[in-house]
Amino acid sequence: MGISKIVMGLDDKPMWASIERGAMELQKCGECGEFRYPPAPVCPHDLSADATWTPVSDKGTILSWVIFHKQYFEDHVPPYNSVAIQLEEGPIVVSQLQGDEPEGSWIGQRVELIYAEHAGRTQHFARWLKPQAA
Amino acid sequence: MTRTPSAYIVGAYELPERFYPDKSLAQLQAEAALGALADAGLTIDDVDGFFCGPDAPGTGPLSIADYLNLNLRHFDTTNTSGSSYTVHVAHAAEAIAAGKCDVALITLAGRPRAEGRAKGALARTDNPQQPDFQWEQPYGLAVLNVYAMVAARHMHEYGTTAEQLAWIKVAASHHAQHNPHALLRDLVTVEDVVNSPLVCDPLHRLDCCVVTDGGGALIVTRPEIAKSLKRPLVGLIGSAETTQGQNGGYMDIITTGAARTGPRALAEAGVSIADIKYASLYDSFTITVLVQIEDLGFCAKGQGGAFVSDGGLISGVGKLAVNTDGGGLCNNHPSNRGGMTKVIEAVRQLRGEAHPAVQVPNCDLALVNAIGGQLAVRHAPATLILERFA
Repeated sequence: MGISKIVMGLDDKPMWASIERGAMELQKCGECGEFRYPPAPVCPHDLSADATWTPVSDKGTILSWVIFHKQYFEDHVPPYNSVAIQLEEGPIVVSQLQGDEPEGSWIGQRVELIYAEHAGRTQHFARWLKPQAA
Repeated sequence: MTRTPSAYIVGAYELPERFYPDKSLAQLQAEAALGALADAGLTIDDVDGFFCGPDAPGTGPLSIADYLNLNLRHFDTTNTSGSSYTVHVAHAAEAIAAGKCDVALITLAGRPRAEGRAKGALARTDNPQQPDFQWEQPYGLAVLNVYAMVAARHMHEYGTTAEQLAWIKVAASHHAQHNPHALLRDLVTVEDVVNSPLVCDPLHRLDCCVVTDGGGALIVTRPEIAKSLKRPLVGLIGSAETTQGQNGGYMDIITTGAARTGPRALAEAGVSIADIKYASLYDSFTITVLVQIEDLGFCAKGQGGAFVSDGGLISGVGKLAVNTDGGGLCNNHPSNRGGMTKVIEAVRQLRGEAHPAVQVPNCDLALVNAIGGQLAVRHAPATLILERFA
């Protein structure tokens, strides 16, 4: 079955180094100013190779979510979730919600990325930002 | 006013079994090829174009061309995963129109069950040379996860329910009960689907396609040869293909590239979606069918749940007969690549050779759509419009 792995190509190394430091950086295009994810050698919108690794806010909104009831990896024991998060900066990333969970659908809930050890590496997870009582 | 086909599908054959422990991959490829040639009334010596996917053993076309002793003028091994064989039909027609070959053979075969790879939606291995793979890693994601995310988002945006998705499986089972070769022939109800174990919430076990050994083959040829044969004339009058990916992290996860290939193929054919009598739609999961129905224009975006409900896809009952062989959900999904069987059942319908219980009356116009790869993150839709000519 095996352990889930990260993707560590040449273009990915700066991102994983920033995650290791607990503050994820993504490439911000020097031409159009857009953040992109996953890391890639050029901006998909203008093909500019000019990009700066820039910290993201770590805040975003859950775009979709699933809960696995079948095991695919030794390090992910069901039931476990994965969430697609639209970061404030724009790109959609995938993470895993830890801690308190919203009731009903998670879509639209605000989350913040946190950093933790998992399977011998540092990666981000999501923490629910509970809506403030009105 | 439809256009004159540049090529016709004159041979179509689906291997009968769903488990092949005692036949090699090369033998299955050969039996599929010979079955389609026999169906067409042609021989292996007539073949001068060969189209295959990476399911064929060896490098591209080389091993099977050698094994079958093909004398080729043209080959194409375009790989877009499950939609490859749907793409191959269009590429074969283009090659024939360009004079590059006269008789094109398209094959698919695989034996994931016999080889112990029938583990459902397999966890993917990472490929550091593929920038888009980061998206699914390293949070315990597998193929299924992304489809379930599409389903959850569709439910959120449009109020689509698990029961509505279940109707897609129910329709497949209604058709599969008449197919003696189908892997799963038992009728299932909406309750059976939603009460089956959750694999990846919101998708249940019965929302997922089968894993099977087997395969099939197609023969595509030029009009003069097609008209000399004794088979009904099934012409390709429109086709379109595209790719869709992550767009740098800004993708719309519930809209597929079929929203572009469907209208383009229909426009090329000169017909409208309302003219379509039968549709083969890739059914890797129930949600895959739902988004295709919307994106191809059978109904407005968000209305797919209502469209498929209450037997909406059951032949003779609903608005549109879909996957009358039982589809990938019940019949066959050989080598985890469904594009081939989608074309084969459309050919049966257009010839009037589907099972009588599921045959669409006077079925003269069919649409085939396959989605290769994965929804949301990377996929290649391919649409064919096929017409029966007298």
